[in-house]
Amino acid sequence: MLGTFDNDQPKIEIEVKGIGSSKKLVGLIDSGFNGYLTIPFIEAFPLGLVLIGIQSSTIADGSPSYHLVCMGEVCIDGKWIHTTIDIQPANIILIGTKLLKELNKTFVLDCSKSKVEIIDSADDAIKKKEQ
Amino acid sequence: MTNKQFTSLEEITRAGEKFYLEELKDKIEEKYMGQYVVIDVEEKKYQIDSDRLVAVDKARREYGDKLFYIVQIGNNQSSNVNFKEKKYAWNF
Repeated sequence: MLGTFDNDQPKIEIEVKGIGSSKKLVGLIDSGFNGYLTIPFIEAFPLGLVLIGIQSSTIADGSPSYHLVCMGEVCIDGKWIHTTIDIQPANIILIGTKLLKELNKTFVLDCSKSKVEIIDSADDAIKKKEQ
Repeated sequence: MTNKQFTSLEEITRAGEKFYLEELKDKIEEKYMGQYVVIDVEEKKYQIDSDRLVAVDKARREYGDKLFYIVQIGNNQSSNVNFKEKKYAWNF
């Protein structure tokens, strides 16, 4: 699937589902985020994501920070995964490397051509051809 | 004797942080640095895994559907913090 290089930021469309409805969202692929997915409160609550806990961490200036952790389902390029989702007040959707790894996806970014693409990893692509 | 029931996220955070810093940190930090510990603050039980999703799944399987306190080991503040002065991410 193709994404967009919006304001020099690689973005792709994902679908997120809680116990209620699902919604398509556009998220920023953050190669420095080794988690799954972070979405804002404003998107999380209407989806009915299941709250499972609170995570503590220390931010860059050394002060403590807390964020909510929910369970939900995420779909990228037609493939769903059951995963943890971080909920933050900031109005930004971040897609982490762990999510792409779990979905066996390869992230292709060509800045000069403004091309953003998510493709199946080599193993998955071979399996699909064999089927 | 029944364990204390925690009714708010702030209570869970405070109790989880206290348990982690006072009883768990020294015991697990060296061996499991960078991994995730998912703590059932009521039972004072926990699950550790390098993948947070796996640790959460193990905790939910063992302890049921409840709210957990989660820490990435080695990424937690020192114990001399004043809870009253903390800013919580959801208080925006």
